[in-house]
Amino acid sequence: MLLEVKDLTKEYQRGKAPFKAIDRVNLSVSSGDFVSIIGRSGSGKSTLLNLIAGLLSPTSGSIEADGQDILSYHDKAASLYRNSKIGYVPQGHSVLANLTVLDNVRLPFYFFKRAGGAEEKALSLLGQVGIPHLAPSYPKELSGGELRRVSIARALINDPGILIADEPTSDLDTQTTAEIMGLFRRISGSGTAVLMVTHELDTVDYGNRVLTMASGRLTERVK
Amino acid sequence: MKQRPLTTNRISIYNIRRKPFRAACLIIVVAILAFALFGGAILTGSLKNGMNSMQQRLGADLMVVPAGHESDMKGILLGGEPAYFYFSGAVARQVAQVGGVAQATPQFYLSSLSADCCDEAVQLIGFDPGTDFVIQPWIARAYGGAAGDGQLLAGSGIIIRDDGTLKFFNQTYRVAAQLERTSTGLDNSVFMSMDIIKALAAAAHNAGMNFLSDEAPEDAVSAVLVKIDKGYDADAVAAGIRSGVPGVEVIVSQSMISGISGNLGSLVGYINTISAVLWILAVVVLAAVFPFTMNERKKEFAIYRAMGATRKRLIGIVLNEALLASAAGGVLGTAIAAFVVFPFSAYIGSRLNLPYLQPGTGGILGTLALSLLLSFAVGPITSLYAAVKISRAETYMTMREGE
Repeated sequence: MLLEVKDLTKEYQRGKAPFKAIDRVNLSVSSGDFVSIIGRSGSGKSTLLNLIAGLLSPTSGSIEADGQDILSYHDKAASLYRNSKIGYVPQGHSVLANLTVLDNVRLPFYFFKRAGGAEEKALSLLGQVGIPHLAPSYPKELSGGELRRVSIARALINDPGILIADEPTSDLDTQTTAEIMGLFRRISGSGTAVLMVTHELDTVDYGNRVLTMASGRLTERVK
Repeated sequence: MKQRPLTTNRISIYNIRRKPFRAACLIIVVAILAFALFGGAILTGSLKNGMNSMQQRLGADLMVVPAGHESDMKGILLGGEPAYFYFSGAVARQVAQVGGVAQATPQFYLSSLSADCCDEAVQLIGFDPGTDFVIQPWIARAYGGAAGDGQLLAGSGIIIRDDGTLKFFNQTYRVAAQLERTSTGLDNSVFMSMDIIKALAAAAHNAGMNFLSDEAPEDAVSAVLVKIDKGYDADAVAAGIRSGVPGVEVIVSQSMISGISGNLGSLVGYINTISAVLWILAVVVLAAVFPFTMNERKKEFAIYRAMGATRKRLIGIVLNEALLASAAGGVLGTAIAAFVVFPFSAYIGSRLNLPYLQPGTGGILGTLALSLLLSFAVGPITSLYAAVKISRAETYMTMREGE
């Protein structure tokens, strides 16, 4: 199993009362899965993705990637997990303003020692997301849809086993949304699992699994 | 074009390049600090050096001069203001008899003129090679030998003719060597044996310039320099000379130095205080600015973390940016200080009216290295806390806060 989440709980303090953003969630993801998680705002979708991406610590439960308990990792191992096993597309615009599009895409390649360079691969990924001509541009020169494509290309630079996308089409027009969803389908078709949070029901048709999040609980809908 | 690897250093450079205003503010603060550190250190170093040089050059514990000529003597020693004054050579013999006097040597002073007869108006100092314990040891140390018969030794400020000679009262003499700078009035003096200076005095007399109206040229001296016996108090010996030898004034070298060093001490203290205040101010400003800039860049750092940057790398990027800005500021500040302090050293020295002798190359390089080190360190030190704090923040929360 690529990813195994068991009894995952994340509790916050809201005022004086405890509040469970994630409540005993179980989830298994295999290679090539395209999982859509839907739910209302505040239902805990983004929190779940960030727990799986190792960007947030749970209150209890376990997360295993390729049979390894990621919660036991120290900083270096956790960073390597985020860098190599996970391709993360955060919510909103998450491109570094001081780097060119090409440098943004190839940046994660250099966080850990790897042979060779990342330029050719970064250019190829920019081609796959349809913006090869923007390689030398800076983020401020790009539209919202183009920035999202840069984030996706960047997430794929280290050939992750799983692509995690937090509302990747939230502020995009219909055509761009369709293009990005088509891209995600191709990615999952190539063996990389896609785990996507969305509140746009139209997009779930691109995936092979749909899960619903409500009050921190996750349930799978049969398609 | 082949793209270069995105190392921590390169990421820092790109971040600085794309935010020139933010970088310029940091660079300016560090440049002010470096200017104060390097400029202040060179200034205080030169003053202390000048003081040490003057102490070494005086070489005598007491200076006996004709009554009323104490300020003239100080003018010769400190300001290089040419003067002449005389008393009988018998005084030297009397001084030598006073209790506590270990050695006594006469000196003879003459002023050349700004006229056809002379190359320039400077102080001429004649010493007695037989008894001298002040000029010759210094010459031996500074020049590595002694002047030959009929030769002169010129202070560092004297302009020597191309053929290596100097002319005074129509008499031309070869200059054996030019001495290193001392920052005292002796830099504008020419040294010679008693025979030469007496010959010059006679030549001046023959030319109608009557320096020695009251004394026979053969017997006159200008000052008697005294070294006191161990165990004797300089003030007590000075009092003995004053009471035993009429018509003289005694300058106690240590008292003169103490007076100058009192002024110098206050000035050095003032410069050091300004440097320290500026350093503290720079540290406080930078320590206050870095958390603000970190706060502004929360989302940026969260993205690095989400992409797999370790805490160590994140801290590395922040410290490296701070180091690059500090280095640029440090180099800029020391360069400006160097352009101010070095070309105008003579002017600064004369304005301060204190002995001012720039440290040697080794001293300057040492000061430069220390100033650059402190300037370079100030950015990383002041940003360290903010860097560690941002690296420890929970990425998801930071990313949300940064939106």
